[in-house]
Amino acid sequence: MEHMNEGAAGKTKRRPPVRKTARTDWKEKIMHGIFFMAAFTSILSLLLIVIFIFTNGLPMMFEYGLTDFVFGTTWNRTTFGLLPMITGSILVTLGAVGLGVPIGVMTAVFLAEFCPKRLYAFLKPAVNLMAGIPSIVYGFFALRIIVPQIRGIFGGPGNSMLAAILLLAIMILPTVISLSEAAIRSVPRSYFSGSMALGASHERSIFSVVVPAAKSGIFSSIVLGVGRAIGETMAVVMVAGNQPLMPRGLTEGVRTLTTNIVMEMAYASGQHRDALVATGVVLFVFIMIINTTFLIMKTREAK
Amino acid sequence: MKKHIKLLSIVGLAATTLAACADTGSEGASNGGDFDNSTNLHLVTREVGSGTRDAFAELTGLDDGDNDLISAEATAQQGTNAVNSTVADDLYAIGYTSVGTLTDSLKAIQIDGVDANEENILAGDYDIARNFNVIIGEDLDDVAADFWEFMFSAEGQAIVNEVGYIPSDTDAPAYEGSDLDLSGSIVVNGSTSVYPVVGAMAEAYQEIHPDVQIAVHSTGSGAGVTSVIEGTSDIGMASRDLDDDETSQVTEVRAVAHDGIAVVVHPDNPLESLSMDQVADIFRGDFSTWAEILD
Repeated sequence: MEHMNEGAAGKTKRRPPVRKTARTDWKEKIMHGIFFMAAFTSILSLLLIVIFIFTNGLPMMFEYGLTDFVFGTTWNRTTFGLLPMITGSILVTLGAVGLGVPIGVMTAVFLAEFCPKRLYAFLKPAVNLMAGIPSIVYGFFALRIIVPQIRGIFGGPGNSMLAAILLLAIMILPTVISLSEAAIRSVPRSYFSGSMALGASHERSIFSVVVPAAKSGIFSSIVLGVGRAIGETMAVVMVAGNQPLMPRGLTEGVRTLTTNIVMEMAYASGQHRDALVATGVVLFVFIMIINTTFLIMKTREAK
Repeated sequence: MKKHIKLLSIVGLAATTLAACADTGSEGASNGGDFDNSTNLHLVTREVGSGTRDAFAELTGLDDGDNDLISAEATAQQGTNAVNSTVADDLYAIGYTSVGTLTDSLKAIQIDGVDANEENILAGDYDIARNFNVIIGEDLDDVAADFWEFMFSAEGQAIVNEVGYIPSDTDAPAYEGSDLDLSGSIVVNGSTSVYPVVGAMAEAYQEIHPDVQIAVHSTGSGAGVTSVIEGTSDIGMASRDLDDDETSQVTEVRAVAHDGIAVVVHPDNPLESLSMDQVADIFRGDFSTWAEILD
């Protein structure tokens, strides 16, 4: 690797020629092996997960009938129609992203461009702390605070889609804020000063020049937010109501793909258990779609 | 440009207002004692597969082959405590829970005029009652066999009482194995409802035999039965009776305690008594508002 630097370094100051001894080669080879093993381990675990859920889930889906499974609306121990959970997951995620992303991106703009230094020294660690709170604690907070509030204000049982949306909107904030802030900060300062020099106001420079330039990074923060929202389980199961029915309204209960698995996994056996693994397949496909959309958006952006 | 910020704040405001208008029902706030009859019932149930749910469905006649008839619109909560706290928080909720876990923050409803308490369950008067079963498979080792004896001894049955359930054998013989020199480990798996009983027994047993390690896991009745059949645990716990298929695959099933399932509401709910049929109708989802039951 080191000889690659020579070209660049050669222009300014000639370095002494690199002494190639057997020892350095050895070290490099060992480290090379270690890095390769690290990469291999993560890929291997991904492969194993994919193999596990697809070999266990796919046969059940085809045996039961793919359309019946994906578009059926009844779910119990013998009938496995997943549409209520698919719709539930999509609606809850959309709601959480619709609420959380504007708040998160605005917060990121504030942190990166408007925040006084002293406040920043407090806000930044606070946002990081939010990311570190275990999801079960968020769930408990939502169960004791958000659910009774919803019950008091809107009536209904409280355990509802709205509760899940509010909870997830809060839970995706740290992801959206941190990544968006990093994206905004990585925009070259010359964009901002150039815009200011042309006579734009502070706000206009930020919203019309800096933020659009950070679009790609902000998109990736949204995608990761969507990933977190669709994958969250333990907190959602506490507040969502978990009825396996087509979503009936914001203040009625809903069941998502992840909570469907966690609610019934302990008891399921036979085809029921396979149906839960097949739920995992659908969830996996969702994540694949999200990531692919993200990749396509990014490559377009790069062009 | 200030316009942008303004626009965004308007969007934010609109979202909040929209959420506020989403209410479709005309339900009053759940504050204290003023109970609004026109409010909908909020059914609370356990998750599909839970032993308490299966027992409740069976005892109230809501079982239907592999599935049960409990309304799919009921809020499904995972675990006894989740049901208890949901009902205790919600003036209009009605759920069912283990009599052993009743507290002051819940009101148990009389069934056909009978209170849900231990005397009535022991006497056989209270109808929504069930067995707490323990299960063993083939090849029980000496240590597990001795713990099995202990569970059905006078000492073991006294613990059932202490934990708040009803002993299955009031004339149990005294435990005779205290002098034995035992060591080893026992794995117990199963019902979350039976767990507190067997867990307390395991603690007491380990005081007598310090060299015996007993690991008691609460994984649910189904998992408990499966683990005994598969041989991954020595003793299983189930809060329901085993079906014929399961019984044929294990060596012995025995009730270690009795428990009742109480139908519970918020303490400020005026409801006092229900018939068994009403309970079934309620959880089938036949009633929508409290007025239909209370008036």
